Order: sequence, then structure tokens, then C-alpha cells
Amino acid sequence: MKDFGNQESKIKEFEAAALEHIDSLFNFGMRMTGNREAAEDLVQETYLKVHRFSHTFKDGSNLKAWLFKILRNTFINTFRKKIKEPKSVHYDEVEDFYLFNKIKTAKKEGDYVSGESSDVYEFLEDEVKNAVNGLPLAFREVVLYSDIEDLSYGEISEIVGCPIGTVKSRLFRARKLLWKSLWNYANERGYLKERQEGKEI
Amino acid sequence: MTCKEAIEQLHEFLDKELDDTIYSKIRQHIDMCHKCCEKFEFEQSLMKVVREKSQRHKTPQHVLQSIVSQWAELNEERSKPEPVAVEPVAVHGKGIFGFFTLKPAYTMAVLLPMTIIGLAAYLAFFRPAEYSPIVKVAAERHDSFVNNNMHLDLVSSDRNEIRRHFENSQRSNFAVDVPECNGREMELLGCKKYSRDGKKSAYVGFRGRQNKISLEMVDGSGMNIDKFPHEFYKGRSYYFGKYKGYNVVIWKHGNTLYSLTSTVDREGLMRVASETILP
Repeated sequence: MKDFGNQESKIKEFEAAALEHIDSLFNFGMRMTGNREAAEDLVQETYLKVHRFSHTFKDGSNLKAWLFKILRNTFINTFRKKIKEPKSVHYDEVEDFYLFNKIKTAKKEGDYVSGESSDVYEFLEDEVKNAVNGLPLAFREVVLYSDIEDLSYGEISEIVGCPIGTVKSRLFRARKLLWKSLWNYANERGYLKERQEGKEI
Repeated sequence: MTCKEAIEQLHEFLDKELDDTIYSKIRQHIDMCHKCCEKFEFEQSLMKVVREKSQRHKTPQHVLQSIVSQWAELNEERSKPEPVAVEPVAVHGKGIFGFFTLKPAYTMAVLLPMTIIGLAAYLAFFRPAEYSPIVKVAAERHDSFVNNNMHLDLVSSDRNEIRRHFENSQRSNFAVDVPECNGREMELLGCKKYSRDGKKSAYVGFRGRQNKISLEMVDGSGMNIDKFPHEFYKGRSYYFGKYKGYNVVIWKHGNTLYSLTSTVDREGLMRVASETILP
């Protein structure tokens, strides 16, 4: 009974810490399922499991990665989805610096392609969203972990259960695909034309 | 460092995954090399754009609240002493016919023949052909559930729905507001506030029962239930508070989702399910 109060405050602490990441988890759920109801279910189910398996969490290890791992497993179980790199994607056909080269070509010769200028900031939110959501699951999740959630390669490898090398190559391919599809979306809108005419939006 | 070497590590560099020595070498190279600088800056700003232009979805308040209340419920369950540990014999004794023994014995004497007559009448006269298989089966098998040390509750978020299902069969004793339940310590064992329809549905049952089997019905109108695979959740573990159970199957019929859940061992329930629900 002596540690009871102590233990209770520890549980409260753990619960509060776990709930801090709920928006990240929900956001991930939305991106992976593309459906609000499904994302809500996924997060609830995940937090039930978090409670149930809280004793298996090792103090001092990475809570966010642990939560994402549970979320990911729940997602796979619930939706019976396999998160595998698709064989049909010919990512190697996408050249390095695809987007960079496209924009470079679209600009006047000698112009500096700058991240600070409007070159990339003109991509619309919808274009970014569609490009990310259009990625195959295995690629989408690593982009979400890395570029949205700021998780390290080590943390991602823990979540997806792959060696760091695999995570890296998957992430780089994912970005390549992402840039390509971003370009396609932007181009549909007439981004290239605007560039060539030197117009500002 | 050559351009090629620098470019090869571009992503590790931007993701800050390199150790200090290599990082500063690349840094130096970029500062000197206009071409690389352009590419590095470009990639970096792309990543920034993806981050900044990705709308972050916020968790709806009701989801957060339901998690918090669910946790509180579970914590409460956890902190309560196990009834088995306190009074093992008494609980065990109630286990088999607990449904009846809480009432005087004559209740059972009256109830059992009535149930059998009711069942016979139901089978003979009142069984509508369009009954959904699980409800029919659950009703038919109720007595054997009880005799097999199980207890069947029919629970639903919608009492009227239960009534509708059992009025015709005169087996309203399945419903939650029936005489057998009066005076019993009946309480909400759990609220599925997060059920797929986004509405509340509830399990109602008797506290402390060990081998519990419950049938849950959720009104699926307004839900897109067609998107669910036919037998999703089959064999999936589920918890009633501290009691471990198995959510064997969620079965959809028309606009209603049914789920059969029990704390009996997985194998046993899968057998029941395969004999009853599954085709």
C-alpha cells in the first residue's frame, strides 16, 4: 500500500505523456486511412491498447515511437493492410533531383533555383496533400514519420521493424516519388506555364 | 569532399543523421560549391514545404474525452480487488447458475419451464422467416448457453430494437429491462463510445460474472457498413474491464451489426460461433 500513491501518480504521468501525442497519432491515422471515422476508431483502439500494455513500456525508451508502433500494428490488423513496398513502382526510373531539374529547365537559363524564393512555396496545400496521400502505404508512412513527425531513422526503424538501411532507402525513394507527383500536380495546374512566363501568382 | 560524395549523403545531412565530422565536411563543401548549395537548399525547402503545407488534423474532442473516460473506467476496474481472490467459493458457486441463484429458488423453477415453453412456442409459431440468423440462433441457444456456464445478454444502444426483435418471439426476457433484471446489480459494463457508427452503444450486464457471453447489436443505419469485411474482428481479443474476452465476430445483417463476445476461452467461443453464426 505504501507505493500505491506513488504508483498512481506514475500512471497519471504516463497517461498524460501518452496523450500528448494524440494529435500526431490522429493525423497519421487520417493520412493512412483517408477517413475521419476510421482514424477516430484507430486512435481509440490504439489508446485502449496503450492502457492495456502500459506495463510493457520501458521507462526511458521513446514513448512516441512506442505509440506509433502500436498505432501501426492496430492499423495493419484492423484494415488487414500489408505495408510493403510495391513491386510495381519503378522508383528507380525517377531520376535524382527530378523536381529540381524540372524547375531548373522551366526557368530561364542561369537562374538560381532557390528554396527561399517562390519556386517551391507556390505548391498548394492540396497539391502537397494529394501527393503525400497518393504514395503507396510503405512510402507514405516513412514520409509521415520523417518529414511530418520529425522522427529519426532509428525511431522509424523501431516502428516499422526494419533495419535503418531499409528505412533510409525507402525514405529516399518515397521522397523521389513525392517530388515527381508534386510536380505532376503542380503542372496540371499550370505551374510550368507560369514559370515560363515569369509570372508571379 | 567531392560533389558526388556530398550529394550521396544529402538526405542524411538534411535529416541530421550524420555525425559531426561528416556533417561539417559536407557543410564546408556546400559553402564552397554553388551547384551543390543550390540542390541542398532546394531539397531542404521541399521538405520544409511538405511539413508546413501539410494540414495537421486535430483529434476531435469527443475522441479524447472517450479515451480519458475509458481509461478512468479501466483504472477503477484495476484498482478493485479481484472478486475471485476475496470470495472464491461464493463467486464460483454463483458462476454456474448465478443468473438464477440471486433470486429465490422458485424463480428458477418458474423461469426454466417458462423458458422452455417459450422456446417451444417460439420455434413452433413465432419464428419469422426473415429473422437474421444470429438473433435467431442466439435465442434458440440461450438455454444451452446458460447450461454451459455462460450467460447471454442481448445488448444494444437501442432498447426498442431489442424489443422489436424479441416481441414477436415472446422472448423479451432477453431484453435489458426485463423482470429478471429488476433488483439485480445490473450496470453498464462498458460503453462502446467509439463504435464505428460514431454513436454510443452499450454493453449491459451483471458485474462479476466470469464466463460472459454477450451479443451486441449496433444500429448501422447511417453507417457505411458495406465497407467492412464480412467477418471483421473475427477472433480478436477484447476486454470487458479486467475480464479478458474475445470478440469473435462482427456480423452484419441488413443495417445491423451484431457481435458475439465472450470471456470463455477462445477455442470454445470459436466453436460456438462456428456452429451458430458462421455459415
